[in-house]
Amino acid sequence: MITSKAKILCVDDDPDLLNINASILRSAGYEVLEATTGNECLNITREKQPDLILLDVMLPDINGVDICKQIKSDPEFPGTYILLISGVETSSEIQAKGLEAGADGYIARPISGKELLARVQAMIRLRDSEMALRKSKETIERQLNQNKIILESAGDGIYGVNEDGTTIFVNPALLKMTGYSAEELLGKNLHFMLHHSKQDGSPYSQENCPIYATLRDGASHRVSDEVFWRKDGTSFPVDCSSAPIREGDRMFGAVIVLRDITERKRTEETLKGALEKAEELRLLAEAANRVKSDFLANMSHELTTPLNSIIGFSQILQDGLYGNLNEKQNEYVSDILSSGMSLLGQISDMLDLSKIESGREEIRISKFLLKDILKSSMTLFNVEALKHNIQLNLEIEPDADVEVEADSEKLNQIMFNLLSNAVKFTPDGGSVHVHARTIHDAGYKIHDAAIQEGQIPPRPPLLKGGEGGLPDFIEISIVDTGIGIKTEDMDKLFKEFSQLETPYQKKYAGTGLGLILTKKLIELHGGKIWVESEFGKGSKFTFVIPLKPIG
Amino acid sequence: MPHKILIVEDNENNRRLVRDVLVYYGYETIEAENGEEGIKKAKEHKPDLILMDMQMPVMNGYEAIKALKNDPDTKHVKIMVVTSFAMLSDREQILKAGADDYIAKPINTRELPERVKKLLSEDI
Repeated sequence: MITSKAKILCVDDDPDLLNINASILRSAGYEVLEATTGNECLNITREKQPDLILLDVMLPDINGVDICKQIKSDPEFPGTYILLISGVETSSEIQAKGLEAGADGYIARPISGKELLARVQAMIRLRDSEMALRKSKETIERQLNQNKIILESAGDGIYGVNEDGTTIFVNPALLKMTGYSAEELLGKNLHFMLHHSKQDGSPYSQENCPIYATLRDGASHRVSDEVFWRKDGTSFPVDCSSAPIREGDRMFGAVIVLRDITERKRTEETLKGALEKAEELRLLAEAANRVKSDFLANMSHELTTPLNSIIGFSQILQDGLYGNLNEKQNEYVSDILSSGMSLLGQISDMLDLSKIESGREEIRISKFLLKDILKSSMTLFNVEALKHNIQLNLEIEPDADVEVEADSEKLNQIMFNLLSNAVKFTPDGGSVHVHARTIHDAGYKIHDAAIQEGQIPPRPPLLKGGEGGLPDFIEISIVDTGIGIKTEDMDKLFKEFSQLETPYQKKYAGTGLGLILTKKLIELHGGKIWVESEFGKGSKFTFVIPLKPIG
Repeated sequence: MPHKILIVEDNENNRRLVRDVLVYYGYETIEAENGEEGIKKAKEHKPDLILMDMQMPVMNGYEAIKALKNDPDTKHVKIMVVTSFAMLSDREQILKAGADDYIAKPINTRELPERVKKLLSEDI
């Protein structure tokens, strides 16, 4: 039976013989080509690439042996097999020559049709199996080549060991990492060359080595906190894994892949160092903060003691407990008293600030009517406003006429600071307007990055009836017709000890603590404050605090 | 008989200030410079009220109040703590220590006599 439809070229100068052979082969199902001369044979071979040539040795132009030589030496015809045919008279010497020239077989005439067919079939079978072998050899070579490229181009060091632990291959990256040549490593047990000691220099036995454990248990292993040793005696940290080489149930050895993690370790160390440094700095800052708080607490006590005398005796004098003063004396005593009170206010601000900064300030929540606090805080400025002909207005939207849960003392302080600034910086004949309303949370995401300190936030949407949920913030604005703030000064406003430079400073005294304290008091409530201002025209300070404590 | 008030305060000026105000309003005063002296004078003079400073050398106000309130001779004596406004955040602690009332320093000389009068009129 013919398994493949092979192409066979029959070459003979005797047309009868040619015809007989061709007919036998055709009837067996082969595709048959015919030639009567050597040249014709070569031409057809070139064009049609037959699988097999039945070649008569004695041809008129070129003899069969030479044709055989030509075809077999030409790499263009790797799959063309040649079966030489000769007459009885042909000497065994010529047969030998033909086979030497590369012929794959020899047939001597006379030959029966049956035998011819059997010989051809055998030859075709031989050819098919040789071609298949050649193909699989090529495939294997290609794969080997690929593997070689992978091994050679890998950045990780790779080596293979047989079941005894003897090294059977190494890649260039491993050689580069370790400083050894391939000859120095191949055939050796690399545990004793590269992994012989631990990081501290103590010996490392192969029995304890997780890499070679693969050879014992057949499992994959990975270690990332070990060191490998170079030829020059130095070491480097590695991330190393080993995997068994298996075929079915049998293990032939293992492949070990190692990565030099010096850089990674260094990055980790740097990071660790930076974190430690940051922690150190944090502790230092905390300690400094504590020292500062203690210092301020002590200082406030020391300052209160003389202030107690200054304020107390001034009051006794002013009240005439031990005799009346004349007008001038009365005026001086009033000045001493108001200076004392002002000093007290500043010490108080400073102390509050230090308490907040050291996290010791707590808010004491109570329930009260917002309008009560607003009204009472404004009353405090009635005299001052009257003196400078400043108009004080309070406008509470109906939805802000509510009870709030907050620290009333601190809300008073916030209002006092903002109003005192507004009145202080507003020229005679101006106005200070306080406006209160409620606002929905959506408008003021407290942690929204958009509300940056000192920056004008996008206007929040007003709460309309029926939309959204419950109103949960109160918003209070203090609008003055004062001297205003320059844009470039805006972000300095809420910073410690930064009362703005001239022209503000000379005319308007203060410690510069008022606004930062106000901001912190608002933030203690979970609120925000910001400012809008036009230099020369006035300022608008707005703050929001939750109607109820958050969380 | 005027009420007798013991002023325990380490600063001389402030002691004099409180004394002059209270004398003006008709009280009899006794003075002590620290907690220890305060306890001694309290046992000796049996005052109706003690105005107690908190931050003092030798013995501070807390210790003095505790000692006074634990002593059967003096435990009935009313104590008003006079402390820096800065220490008012500790008010719970002050009351817990046994004080009956507190007033912030710097003292408002208009408020002090009213508060004293009120405390003296209260029954404990």
